Amino acid sequence: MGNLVVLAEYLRGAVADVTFELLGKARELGNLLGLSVEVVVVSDRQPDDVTGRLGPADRAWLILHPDLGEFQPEGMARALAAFLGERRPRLVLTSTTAFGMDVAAGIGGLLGWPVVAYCSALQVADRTIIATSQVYGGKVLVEVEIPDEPTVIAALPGSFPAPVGPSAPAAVEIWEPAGLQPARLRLRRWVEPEAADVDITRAEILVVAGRGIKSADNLPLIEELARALGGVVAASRPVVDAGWLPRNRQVGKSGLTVRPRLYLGLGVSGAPEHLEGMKDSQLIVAINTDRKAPIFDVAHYGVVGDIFEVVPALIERLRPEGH
Amino acid sequence: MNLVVVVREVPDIQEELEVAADGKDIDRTFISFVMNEFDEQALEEALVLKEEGQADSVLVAALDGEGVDDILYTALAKGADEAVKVIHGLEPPIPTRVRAALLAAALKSIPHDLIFTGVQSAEDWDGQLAPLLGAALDYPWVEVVTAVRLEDGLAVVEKEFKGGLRAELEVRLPAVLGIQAATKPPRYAPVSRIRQLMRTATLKTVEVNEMSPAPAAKIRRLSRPVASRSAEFIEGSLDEVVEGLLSVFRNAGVLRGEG
Repeated sequence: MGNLVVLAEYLRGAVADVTFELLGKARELGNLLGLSVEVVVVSDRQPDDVTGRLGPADRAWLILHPDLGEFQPEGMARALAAFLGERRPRLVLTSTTAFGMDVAAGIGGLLGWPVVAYCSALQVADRTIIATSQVYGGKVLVEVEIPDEPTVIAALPGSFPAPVGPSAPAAVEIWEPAGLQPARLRLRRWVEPEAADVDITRAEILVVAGRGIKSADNLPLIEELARALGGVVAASRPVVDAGWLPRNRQVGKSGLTVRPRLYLGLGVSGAPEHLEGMKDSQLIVAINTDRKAPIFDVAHYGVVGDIFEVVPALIERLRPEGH
Repeated sequence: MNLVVVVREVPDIQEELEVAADGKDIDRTFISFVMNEFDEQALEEALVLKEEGQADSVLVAALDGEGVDDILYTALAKGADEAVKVIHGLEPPIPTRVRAALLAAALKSIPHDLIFTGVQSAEDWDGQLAPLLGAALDYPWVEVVTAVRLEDGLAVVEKEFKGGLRAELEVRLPAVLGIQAATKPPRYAPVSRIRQLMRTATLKTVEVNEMSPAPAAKIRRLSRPVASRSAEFIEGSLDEVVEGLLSVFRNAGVLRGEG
């Protein structure tokens, strides 16, 4: 049965890192299963200069259509569904990113193929492909058996540690979708991120507020600790969605990736989307009341306790002597 | 302009979740259910559009399930005009693709111009609802939406990428939007108002027939993640914990004036 097809995440002239992670994994699975690896990119330009740096696939496909030049998630999903439907690959590999989320479930829905989202591991046992997916905020893993039919996998970025570098695929072919329905969606413009008062990606010490801070009224306490440590305050998504801190302070999938010398998580549970953005920090320390919080799986040091007891005591000890 | 917000119940992930004895699902016996947090964002965004006069009505719809009445009354208390419970006769957990098929069938009898739902849920490992529902209805869809405004026959949405980059997209209606975050934090519904509505308001129902099973990956087992790195826990009295933390900071050279 079919090949392994990686959908390249190609946006504004750049191929995302996750595409090379997926290609690395596809190569490994392809060797185990005796399947070839193909990579697909969608564009409106021919020849597109991206096709030469899609990575070491056996074959690259350029899906070419004048309507698919700018970011066009639904049109892309429909063109890809037409392309993949003809070929019936063993697996379609994409990612749980803003790019992949429109496309992965979209293709699955259009073609009636199974989808496995939030995939953090893929292995082969007795020629059966087994995918592991992270659910319930990372508290539970679901292990599923990929059926004997084409299946769409959306992986969490950073899951596959052996990425390949950009290089030229062995062969490049062009495929032009016929009868693509007129676009119902159009990109008007890109909106660049607002300039931040504080750049959390450059801070050496980050004090990160999670859902456990309970209320915006408790932010001054967190800020005081950050000041005492000489760091800055960042946040997990629930804190930003609640409007307690601006979006440019958010760590994680829809926020920023940080690698500070010290990450101190306060009431951060550690959903997969958050861990993706901080797990490479040099020193991770977490304080949380829930001993089973996933943040403790990546932390070097943990305190199971109440931040409203520990933080004031810590601030007290950090005060300059004589005050 | 009629907005429909599709909401669902999910196990409260703030609570302890156990794997069921057969290993194929979580144990649903003693857990409590809450509205999917992203559906709360979707509801808020729809209510804001109505309050701004951009939309005429907000109808909230959910597949029947444990805790769904509470969720629908809460949505009414927050300001939704109508609530519809879709009766289907299936046992949980319902695959997301089957959810999409059931909802697509129910939406045939519910007037709508634009459908909102949450970008993802705690248990949608088999694919997110918005694209699956869009595909089932043959409507365009957009995931990871953080702002919506309505123009003549169009929704103009912001879709958020990593690092705060956003794409402004115009989408022809009808369409399905997967909301990541509303323009403002979800409002609070007073418990007294919810209780009052439980006595006075009625939930409408729409019945749909069971759908043929969709292809799906088969669950082998659920498990708790095994830590790739196990945190060293600092324990003891409050003083001991604080001293332990300071010594960790000191050893890493991140204490001010000591680094």
